[in-house]
Amino acid sequence: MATTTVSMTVNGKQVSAEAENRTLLVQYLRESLGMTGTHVGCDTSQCGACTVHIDGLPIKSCTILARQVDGKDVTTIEGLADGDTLHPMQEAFRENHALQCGFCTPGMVMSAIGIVERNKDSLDEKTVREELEGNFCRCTGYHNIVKAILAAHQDMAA
Amino acid sequence: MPEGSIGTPIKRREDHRFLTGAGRYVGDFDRPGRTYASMVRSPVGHAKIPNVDTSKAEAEPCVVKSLKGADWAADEVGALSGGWPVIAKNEMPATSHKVWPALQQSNG
Repeated sequence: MATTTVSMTVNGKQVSAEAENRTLLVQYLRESLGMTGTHVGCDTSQCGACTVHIDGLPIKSCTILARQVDGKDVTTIEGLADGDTLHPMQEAFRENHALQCGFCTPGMVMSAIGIVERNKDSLDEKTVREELEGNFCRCTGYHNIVKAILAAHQDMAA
Repeated sequence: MPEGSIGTPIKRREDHRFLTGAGRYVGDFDRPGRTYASMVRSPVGHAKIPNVDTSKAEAEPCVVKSLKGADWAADEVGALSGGWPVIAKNEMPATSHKVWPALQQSNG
């Protein structure tokens, strides 16, 4: 099986690992780097649990090969908090009880930050619900997740 | 329990690890002999199943075992609530019902 050395920046750290050419970014993160915060929920690019940021844009990491991300800057759920201080989106999820089992949460949070970034000036519930289409939660339903994103929008604008 | 605690939201202790990617789910760690189950689902809504040919899958070196509806029935695994079979045997009860799982050594 053909392999390539794939290097990128993950959460501010330069990383490098030998990976089969067919390796998806999510496999590279979880299996090559041992960073299991990014989850695989469906294997079919529907659930969004694997969402990470590549050069600041939310991407489902099961839809892209690791080698396509060579040299780029990746942020995962593990890279959001500043020490013990949670990112405003993580804090808003905690405050608003926007998680139960937590499996979808990493992808939800990464997508949610993208929603806020794309709608800095104004964000309403309808937009959040529409733009959250690519992320599935199978515990709580979406109500508190939507609430958390709207709350974080306020905090992140402040 | 403090007075007034009923119906009052409380902060969950487990949320911090779930929110920072530090949760530990079954897929996040390895154990000797671990296998992955790969479920084959029905492509049609309702159908008879005369036979499921698993020989090709079983010939793959990474496949440990494949289980069909008859195997589950023979092992007396039981049914889902409502009497639905876990793995369909002679008849497909609904869209996307599982036809057979194959256990494999890696998820590649």
